[in-house]
Parts: sequence; C-alpha cells; structure tokens
Amino acid sequence: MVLEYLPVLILMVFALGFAVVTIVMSDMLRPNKPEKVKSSTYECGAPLFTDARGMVSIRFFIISMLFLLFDIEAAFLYPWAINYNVLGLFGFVEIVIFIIILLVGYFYAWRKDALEWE
Amino acid sequence: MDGMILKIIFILIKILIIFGATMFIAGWTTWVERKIIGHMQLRLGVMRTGPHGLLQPLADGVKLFFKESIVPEGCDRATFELAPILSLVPAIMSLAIVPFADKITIAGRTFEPFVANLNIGILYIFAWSSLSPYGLIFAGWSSNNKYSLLGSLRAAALVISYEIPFGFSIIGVLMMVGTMNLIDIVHAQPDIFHYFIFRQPLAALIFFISIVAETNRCPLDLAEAESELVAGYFTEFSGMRFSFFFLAEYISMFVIASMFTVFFLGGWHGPVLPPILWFLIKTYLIVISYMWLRATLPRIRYDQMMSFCWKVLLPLSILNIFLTACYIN
Amino acid sequence: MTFVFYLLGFVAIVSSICVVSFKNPIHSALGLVAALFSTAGIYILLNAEFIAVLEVIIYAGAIMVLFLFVLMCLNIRELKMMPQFNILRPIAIVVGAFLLVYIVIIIIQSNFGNFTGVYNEAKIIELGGNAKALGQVLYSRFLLPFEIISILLLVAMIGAITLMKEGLRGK
Repeated sequence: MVLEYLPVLILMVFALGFAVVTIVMSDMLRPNKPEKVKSSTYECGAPLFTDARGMVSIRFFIISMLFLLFDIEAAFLYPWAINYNVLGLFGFVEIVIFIIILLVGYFYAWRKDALEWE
Repeated sequence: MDGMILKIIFILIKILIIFGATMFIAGWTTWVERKIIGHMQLRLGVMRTGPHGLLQPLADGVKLFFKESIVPEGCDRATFELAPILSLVPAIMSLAIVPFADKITIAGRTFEPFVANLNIGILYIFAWSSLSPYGLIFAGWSSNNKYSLLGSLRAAALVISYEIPFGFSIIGVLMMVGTMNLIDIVHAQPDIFHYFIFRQPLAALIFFISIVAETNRCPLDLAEAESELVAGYFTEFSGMRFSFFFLAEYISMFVIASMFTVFFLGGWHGPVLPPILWFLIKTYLIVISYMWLRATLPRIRYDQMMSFCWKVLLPLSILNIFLTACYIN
Repeated sequence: MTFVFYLLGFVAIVSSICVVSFKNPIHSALGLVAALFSTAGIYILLNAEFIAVLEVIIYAGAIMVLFLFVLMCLNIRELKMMPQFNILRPIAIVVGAFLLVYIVIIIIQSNFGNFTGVYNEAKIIELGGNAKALGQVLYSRFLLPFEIISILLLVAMIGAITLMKEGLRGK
C-alpha cells in the first residue's frame, strides 16, 4: 500500500524540478537592467510613504481561529462518514452530539458578531 | 531492482503525458476564456495571433518567459523566490489523483490513466489545496507593498473560509459510498439516474460555490480584482513568476472541476464515446460554466462573500449531512 | 524504502534546526512547514496515510496559517539575540540536556515493531484502509475521549472569541 505513493513522490520531484528549472532558465535568458525607479514599489506613481507592515485587522485572527476549529471538526467527520453503515444509529447519535456541541460555539460566535465584516 | 527501475520509468512517462496534457489544457483554457467572455459580451475576443487567436497562449508564454523579472527593493528575497513555487507545486501535485478513466486499452495492453489511486482520495486534494493560502500570503508579504499585502491577506482569509463548506459538502457523498477512493466513487454512479448531482443536489450546489471561491474566480475574486487593488497580490511579480501564479490558478481550476465531475457527474461513464473523452467533456463543461459565471455576474463585495460563507453555506452543509442521514435510512 | 525514510528523517532534522536558528521568524515558520511535511511522509511509510494527510491539512494548512497571520501582524523584522550574559541561558541549557537524556532513555527502552494489538497491518487492510479502521475504533471504543474533544473545541472557540472581543473593543 505504501508503494502506491511512489508515483506521488516522483511527481513531487518532477514538479519541484520543473518549477526551479523554468525559473532558472528564464532568469538566464531575460534582460536584467535594474534601475532605481523600476525597483521601487508601486504606489500609483507616488513615492512610498508608509511602511507596509503592521496594519492587519484583528478580524483575520478570528477567521483563522474559527477555520482551524471547523477544520478539525471536518477531520473528525470524515472517518465517521465512510463508516456510516458500520456504525449505524449509535454512531449517528454520537456525531449529532458532537455537531450540536460545536454548533453551540458557532451560534455564540454569531451572537458575538465574530462573523461580521469580513 | 531491475523491475523497479522499469516501473519508475513507466511512471515517469505517464507523469510526463498527464502533465503535458494538463499544461496544454490550462494554456488552451485561457484562449477559451477570452473567446467565451468576448462572445458573451458581443465582441470577438482574441483574433490576431493565428487563426481566431489560437496561438495566443503560446505567444503569452513566450513573452512571459523572456520578460524582465523586476525585484522590488526591500523585499524579502527568500519568500519572494518561494511564493510562485509554493503556488505552482501544490497545483501540480493535486494532478496525481485525477482519474481520467478506469483503464484504457490500446493495442491489447491496458493502461491506467491516472498517476496514483490512493485510498484517501479527496483528502489528498484537500491537503494540497489547503496549502494554497501560503502562495498568496508570501506573494503579498514579500513584496513590501501595502496593496499586495492587503490583497493577499484578504484572498487567504477568503480561501480558508470557503474550504470549510468544501470539506463538509462532500461528506454526504462519502456517507452514501462508504469509501474515499475516487475510482470507487465513480463506480457507485453507473448510469445517469445514479449521478450524485440528483441524489445530493444541495451538496453539489454548495460544492460548486466553494470551488469558485477556492480558485479565486469571479464573482468571488475580490482579492485578485483587476480593476481594484492593481491586480492584488501579484502586483510586484513579473515574467515567469507571474505566469506561475496564473498556471497554478488554471491547473487547480481544472483539477477541482474534475473533482466535481467525479463526485457529482459520474466521472467517465457515458454511452458511446470512450470514457476518457466523457471525463474531459464533463470537466470542461464545469470549466466553461466558471467562465459563464465570470461573464455574467458582478463581483461580490468582500464582507458579503464572507458572511455568505460563514452564515449561509456552513449551516447548509451541516444540514445536508443530517438530510443525507435521514435519506439513507 | 529505507532510503526514503533516511531522506525524510534528514529533511525533518535539518528543517527543525532551521526553525530554531533562523533570525527571521517567517523563515522559521517555513522551516516548520518543511518539518511537518517530512513527518507526514514518515507517517505514509508507516502505512498511516490518513494521519499523514490530516497532518498536512490541519497542522500545515490551518495552524501554520494562523501562525503566519500572527507573525505578519507583529511585524518582526529580525529577532535580536539576547544580551551576552543572562541568567536564563544556563538554566535553559540544563533543562534542555535533561529533556534530551529523558528522550534517549525512552527510545532505548521501547520495543519497536513488536506490537501485540489487534490492529496489525493485515487487519487494517482487511478493514479497508487506515481511515476506515480508525473510524471503526474511534467511534466505538474511544467514544468518551471523542466527545470530550468536542467540548475542548467549544472551549477553544469561546476563549478565542472572548479574547478577541477585548481587542476589538480596544480599537
């Protein structure tokens, strides 16, 4: 069963090789005349006036935290889904409890406006 | 050891064929997109390079290959180099599991037209597509350009939000089939009355909407928005690096459309034509419907996109799980 | 197969060393992603393909994205080395040495490959693969830990939202 992953390994070596070789070949064959104006960052034609970092809103953290938790929930649902006939009604009740507990958290997030604005 | 080397060479040839075909399809899809959008807007689209503009993808490729790659000052060189590779490699890797057909018989010998048939099926695609935010984040961050950074963060947040309905919507199909192996899922849909799009319509709809967002396509592509944010997170990339982002988008569009075909449209089953042709036709129908959406719908505002995902798609996909459980019993 | 294992192990060790030694924290995060990938490869070699793919999806795909969001907000250009003499450094060295000795003792005392459980390789293949076998065990024998996990996730959700509401109100 592990041998089924051999093509995947070969494909990874191939993909990395293709990407690196293409970039290297392109770098060798293209013109390279760096100038000050070309290298400065683009801001509608005016020179840069603030530092680019440090302006991340906190909404992004909430979204990524919620994504993490729901991703883990999905990961638990997959083995249950493919064993659905084996686990029967008992398994279904278990999963309903699991999902309801997580939906409590979801509705809490909804009430607290964590899902707003972005 | 000898048999092993022969097997490796055979796998390499298969990879080259599948990869070459996919590159060809991805390049040709750019032409198809421009023509379809053009005709839907009552204009001709690309006409100059070659007959009806057929050589346009080739011309674009050659141009991008020889274009000067400008590296902005103050950028983080390591992540700047890594971002296009981090975008392209997951797209190519997800090709490994696309099942073009069950087997092809040419001149008496049977070949299997897929690179690998893994027991974890769709989770393999899920794994590589969950790496797609990295390419976006590093592209935006390494450019030291506030427009790129903002665009990339919003794109990343959008992609990760839509991954959840993407994951949940397939669970209904998995409950009905009992395995994650893609070949077995297609075998569970032998004729058109058994296609999962009729047995799981809600899941198909949720899956379709999620994949439009996952691949950053209009109408859910605010982060790449060409008319705002100056092309978003790849403002600072030029030449081959830029083309890697584009290639990654079109390849992943093709791969995820083929997943829709496998899960909901019956894979390679069909009456008269050879199976591999049916598979390509069905997948291409999905790809064309992407372009149809792009030509028709206006771009949706970012906060509306996120509210739609978290407040509508997520509860609907969980509801679909309960409905499927009731339906099976 | 052994060659692949040594290669993956080498990549894991090198990238872990990179994580603690790079000055730019974004580069450390990239090293961590590489370490997670090689660990997932090692899981595949152990026939635990489901665990491998879950590691990539959840750890490399969700947790590291969270790390990266945090790192980009904190705007750290380069971590500075601590001043030359600091009371924490010898304490850290002693604790690290203890930990290393402990791990080595555990490794020496365990017996690899002599598992005497029901689910050996043949039974897993008979059940239909790693994911199916895991599902059948998880939802029957390990039901209580599974439900406790859901409560853990709920607590994490509520905690995260409460902390971030403070930040939102502060803005």
